[in-house]
Order: sequence, then structure tokens, then C-alpha cells
Amino acid sequence: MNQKNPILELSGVTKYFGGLAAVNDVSLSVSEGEIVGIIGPNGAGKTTVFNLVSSVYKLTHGTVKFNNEDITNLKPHRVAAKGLVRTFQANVLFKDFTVLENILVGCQLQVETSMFMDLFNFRTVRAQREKIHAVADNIMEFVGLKNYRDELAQNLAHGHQRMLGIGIAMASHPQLIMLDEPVSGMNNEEKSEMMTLIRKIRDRGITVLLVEHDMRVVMGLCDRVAVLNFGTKIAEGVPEEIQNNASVIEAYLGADD
Amino acid sequence: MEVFLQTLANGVMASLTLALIAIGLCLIFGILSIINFAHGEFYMLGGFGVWWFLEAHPIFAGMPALVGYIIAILISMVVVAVIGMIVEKWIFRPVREPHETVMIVSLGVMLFLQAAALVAFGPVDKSVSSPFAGLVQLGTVSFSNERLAAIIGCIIFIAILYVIIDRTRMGKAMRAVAMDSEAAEVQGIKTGMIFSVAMGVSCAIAAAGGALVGPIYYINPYMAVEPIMKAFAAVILGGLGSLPGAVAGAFIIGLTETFVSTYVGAHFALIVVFLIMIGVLIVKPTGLFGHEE
Amino acid sequence: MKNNSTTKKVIIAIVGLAAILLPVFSSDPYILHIAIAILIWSMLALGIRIVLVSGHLNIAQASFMGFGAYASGALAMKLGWSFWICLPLAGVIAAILAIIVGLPTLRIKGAYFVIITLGLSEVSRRIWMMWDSLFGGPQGLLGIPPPDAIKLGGLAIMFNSKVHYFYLAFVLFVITVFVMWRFEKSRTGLLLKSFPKADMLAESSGVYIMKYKVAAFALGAFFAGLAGSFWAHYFTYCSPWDFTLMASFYMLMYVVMGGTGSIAGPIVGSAVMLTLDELLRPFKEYMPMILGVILILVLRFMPGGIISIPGLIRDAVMRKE
Repeated sequence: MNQKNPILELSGVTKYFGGLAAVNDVSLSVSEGEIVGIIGPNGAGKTTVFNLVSSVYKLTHGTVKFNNEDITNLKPHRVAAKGLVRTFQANVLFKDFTVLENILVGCQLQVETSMFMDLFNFRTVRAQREKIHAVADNIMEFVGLKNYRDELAQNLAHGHQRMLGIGIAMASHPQLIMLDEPVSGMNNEEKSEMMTLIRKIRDRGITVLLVEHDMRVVMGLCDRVAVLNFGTKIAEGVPEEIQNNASVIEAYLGADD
Repeated sequence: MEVFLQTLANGVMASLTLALIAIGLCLIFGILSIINFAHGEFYMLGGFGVWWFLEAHPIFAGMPALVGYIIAILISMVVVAVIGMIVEKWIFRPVREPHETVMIVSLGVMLFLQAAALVAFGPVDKSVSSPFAGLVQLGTVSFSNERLAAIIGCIIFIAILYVIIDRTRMGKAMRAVAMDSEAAEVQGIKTGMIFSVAMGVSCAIAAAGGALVGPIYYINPYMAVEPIMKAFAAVILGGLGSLPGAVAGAFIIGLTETFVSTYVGAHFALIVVFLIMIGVLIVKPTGLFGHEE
Repeated sequence: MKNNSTTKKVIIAIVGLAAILLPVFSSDPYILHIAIAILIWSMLALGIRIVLVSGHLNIAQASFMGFGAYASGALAMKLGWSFWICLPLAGVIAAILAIIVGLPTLRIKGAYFVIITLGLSEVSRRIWMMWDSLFGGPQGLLGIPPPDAIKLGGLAIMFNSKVHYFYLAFVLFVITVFVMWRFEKSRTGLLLKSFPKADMLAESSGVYIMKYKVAAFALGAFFAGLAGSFWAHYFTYCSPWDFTLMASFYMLMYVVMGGTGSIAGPIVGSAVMLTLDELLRPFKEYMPMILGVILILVLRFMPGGIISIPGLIRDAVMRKE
């Protein structure tokens, strides 16, 4: 599996916030079809890496390449258009939209008609509508929210809200999806559901990069794991290697006091 | 050269008065997350305050003029601060979310205070006789004592405010709330009290501004319409939420405005200020002193 | 659900028919003038609302109206262009202005945009005052020609009575409502509503937020421009004092009073408030004060506006049963 083409390549990615390095010279390569995890103690810069790749923040140094194309500091919506989407840590959703409406916002990359054409009820516009709704139905089925179609997002259970977040990201038909702590705040049952879903995403041929605290989930799910500490990558390898890596153990023990 | 120095001195005074309004706007934005359109009206009320105590009801007439003047300014500040705290607690606080709603509410407060001042005091310009008569002669440039007093007064109030925010426990708590009000609450800071204090302090210094320039300009219900626009421009220029930025912005706007008025024409001044504001937003959207996120 | 939308359609049909037939029942110029004002002010209020939907507050709507009025008036007077060319051009000019103002300011969250529009409302007035040769300075443009007559076969509409102006305003109003309705019902409406909630999420789903925000702002300005052009040719003059910040506040009040939740809100708000304004004419100088209190009270106790009253009553009745 590691022999496949690299789809996402970070090299020398660095971010300073007012003189402090939040992320320092991180390089990482993700291959097509992999599930890669980024772990590390609190404040290690994991989410910042996501924010840099998805261009929420601008890089201080370094480059990000996606499909061999330089996407460093591209506008966030352009990054998404390339096929790289992300979810957010907390329950960032359109809370007073229904599940369907949430997914529809995620479907916008599939829309081909212009804003002006949409003012009229042309046949192409109607066909467009039907197509998009079909995509949305498919996604709701996929993340298991078909029965909650007209429910407001804020009324969903926590686990379902996280599923919806992934559904919005999946709706843009990405090649790579970045999941920010997908199982945080979940009970064991919800966690295993989420793990099944993430495997299903990979089985659709979508590469997965995730940030997670839960070691059981990371070790059970990921093909490869990278460890960040104080913004620097201190280790990378298959889960077994990471579990026995001295500097990783030290980083976690050091952070535990 | 004389015209230049005269304009410079006037510009400094205009900038300092602007700074008194801009600092308050900035504090209110930082701590309460409110764009307060009504803030200029507290400046206006400060102006009417000194007029009320010195001209309409000269209750301090028996005292030396300077003492009466200072007491009138202080009482006006207290009264306006109380009005501001009432507005914050009973009108702003119940509708804090979403932002647009609070902005519209503050527009409502602005209209109300303007119209109330019109009904109470009438549309005729009021003037206040200054306790500072005479001129200072600096070479060929002459500068009136009342303007000098206004400049010194503004500097004193800005300094006091700086000490309060930078050195006292209350100031520390205010900064904590500005940074993250939820975290501050967890640490045991009473955010409601901080909101009241911030609003009170902001309104008091705006009133001080109105009271200090009252003797120099005329006082009327619409005297704040232009200053508030320029103060907003100053706050944007400096970066929303940055106090040093607000002061720097006030100087840029105040000096530009005075010089353009003198050398080009009064109508152009506000247009130039507006263009500077747009220009800064294009080049550095977060303002001169603002930072990312 | 279905029942509800049928009721809606019936209400729209009745109100529309009543409006069309109004000149048949009353040719009183005073009544017609108020009706025209309601139609035109609704267009302006709808323009404010569509921007508000995306989480931004435009308090320079009167300026866009003014730019439409001045552009149309100046073109007609100085170049002798027909009203029917000036009218759409006025809309386009206002929309272009909105794009220029919107591009640098809509990028950032709320505060900057509202302050820039505040500045615009003051700056635009000064431009009209200063530019004597084109805009006539403080006294404005006088003697703007009325719309040219339309000849349809034997029928000629001369624009010599308020009835003709009423129908023109009605047509402009219907176009505005139609476009606003389609705009909001399409995916654009959904996206606009999503931005105040989680714009980062929309953006990382590939939505170019600026495009939609600027489009909404330009659309609102376009109809303000049309309204301004109409107003200038209807009164045959316009001056800097017609398009002040206070005028924008009034429009904003119509939106808030009627309710921001639907297209009907600003229309109902304009109708109710303009009628009230006429009835309260003796207390003219207290209007800003009343206006301020109304804004504060409505947002606090009835955030849905007048349009939410039937729903509130229904809820109250249901709770009793």
C-alpha cells in the first residue's frame, strides 16, 4: 500500500504566531488510499497542520502539494475544489438547517449552473436540482442519516452531528478527506460506528488523514501514524513502531504530569 | 509656516478628542463585542452636561471659574457613565446575539438620544464660556488657552485610562474578558460587572471629550454625527480591538482631516478619510495594529 | 404544509389584485402617492434584507438610491437620454458601486462593512454637494424630465397622472419581488443563509463566499438604483437631502418592523410604517425618537416582526386549548 503515488505532500511546513512556532518544519507524505493519523499531546500543533493544509491559515514557510500540484496558500474554497476537504473539531455545522440542507451546502462543487441561471426555472436548472438531491440522498444513506433528513442539525445526537460533519465533507466528492478528532466526545458504541464509517470512506477510494487523541482508534484504524510534539514531527511509522518508540512515550509521559 | 503650525496645533486637538471617542468604541468592541453606533451621543451629552452646569443652571457660579468648570466636567462624566451603564445593562445585554441585532439596537439608541436631546435642549447651538481666556504666544503663532487646556485635559484622561487598564486589577480583568469572556468567567471574573465598568468608563471619557471641546465648538444635538464617523474610521485604521491602534488611528484621521480641510477644502476632508479607510482595508484588512485571527 | 402554501398563494393573489385595482377605486392623488411610496420603499427594504440574510448590515441603501437618482437625472438632463435607458443604467451604476465597496469589505466579518456603509452615506452626500456642474450642488437637480410616453398601438401612456406612475412603480416592485424570491429560493439563498452560521465550513466545502455576498449586495443596490431613478423622474428633482443616513435608517426600520425572516416582511413593514408615518404627521419632530424606541422594542420582544404576529397569536391560542 505504501508503494502507491503520494497524493498529499507537506514539506518543511512552518507556522509562526507572533514569533512562536506553532508548527515547525513538518514534512509528511500521504499516499493514495491510505489512512494516516497525526497524534500528539495537547497543543502539539495537530489542528494547526490541518488549518495550514486547508489554507485557513497562511504558511510562514514550506509547501503543500496535492496530486503533484502546489496548493500552498491557495484560497480555502480553491483547495476544496481540488478535491481536498476537511471536517472541523467541534460541532461546526449549520445548526438551524436541516440535515438535507447541510449536505446540500456541501454539494456546491457539483453545481454547474450559474447564480444568474438559477433565477429562472430552466430545464437545466431543474435537472441540476434533481442531480444534486440524488447526490445528497446518497450521502445521507452513506453516513446513516437518511432517517433524519428533515431534522434540524442542532437536534441531532452528538454522534450523529459528527457523522453529518463528515457527510458535508463527503458531499463534495473529495479525493482526500481530513478528519479533525472524529471520535472526540463519543461513547464506545459511537466510536466503533465511526471507525466503520472511516473504513468505508477509504473503501470508496478516498484517502483519509486524521487527527485524533484516542489511541485505540488511531492504532486500530491507521496504516501509518505521525507524531507531533511542540510543533515538530518526532516520529512516523506503522502503529506498532510508534507504540514502542521511546521518544513518543517520553513525549506523552512528559505531557501527562 | 504660521498656517502650518496653527493647523498642526488644531489637528493635535482634533486628534486627541477623536482618540477619547475611539478608545471607548474600541473598549466596548473588545470587551462587549458591540459596534456601538450610539457612542457619539455620549460625547454629545458630555457637551450638554457642561453647558447645563455652567450656563443653563450655573450652580457653581460662586466658585472660582476653573474649579466650577472641572466639577462640571466630572459630574457630566459620572451622569453620562450612569446613562451608558443603564443602556448597556437593560438595552444591549438582553440582545447580545447575533451581532447585526445589537448593531441595529444601538442605532435605535443613537436616534433616541439625538432626538431626546433635540426635544430637551432645542436645535439652537449652545456655547459655553471658557474659564481659560487669552492666548499663548509661541513665536509668531498664537494659540488660545482654551485649546491648550483641552489638549492637556485629553492627555490627562488618556493617561488615566492607560493606568487603569494597564496597572489595576480591574484593568487586568477587563483584558481577560476581552481575550476570552468564557474563560474569564471560569476563572471567577464577574463578566457582567466588567461589561458595566467597561461601558461606564468608555462613556465617561467620551463625555469628557464633549465637555472639553464644548467651550471651543458649539454644542447641539447633532454635534457627534461627524466625530463618530471619524472615530469609527480611526478604530478600523488601528485595527478593531487594539487600544494603541485606536489612538494612532485617531491621530492619522485627525491630522489628515485638519490639513485637508485647511489646504484643500472642508468637503474633501471626510472623503479623504473615507478613502484612507478603504485603502487600509484593501492592503491590510486587520488594520495597522490588528493581527491575524 | 401544503395547506399553508395554498393560503399564502391566495393571500398574495388577493393583495396583488387589490393593488392592481387600487386606481379604479381611488384616483385621489394623495392615496396614490402613498401607495407609490410603499411600493418603492419596499424595493429598497428588500435590498437591505437580502444583504442582512448573509449576515451584513447595509446602512447606505439611501446612498445607492441616490446614486441611481442622480445618475438617471444627470443622464436625462445633460445628455437628453430617454428615461427607459436611464432607468436600467441607474440600477447598473448602483450595482457597480456596490461591487466596488463590497469587494474589500465583505471579506471580513460584519463590523467593517457596516462602518464602511456608514461612511459611504456621508461621503456620497458630500460628493453630490460638491460637484455643482454635474449634480447641481446643495439644491440638487431641478427639472428632471418625466418618463417619455409609451405608445402601444393606439394606447399612449403619457405619465401625466399619478395613476401611470403607480403602474410603473407596481411593475418595478413586481420585478423586484420576483427576482428576490427566485434568488432566495435557489441554492444561492441557502448559501447566503449559511454564512452567518459557519462561513468556514461553507468555504472549506468549496463555496466561494465572496461571490455570493457581493452578488447579494449588488442585487440589493441594483433595485435601489432603479427605485432612485423612478423617484427622481417622478418628482422631477432630487437633492442631497433626499438620500441621507436617516433615510437609510427608515428603510432599515421597515425591514426590522416587518420581519427579516421572509420577503413579505419588508413589504408589510413598509406598508404599515409609511401609513403610520402619514397618520402621525402632526408629531413629525418626535418621529426619530419614536423610531428609535420602536427599533429597540421590536428587536427585544418581537424579533420576527409584524409578520410573526399571526403565528404568535396561533401559538398563544394553541397553548390555551
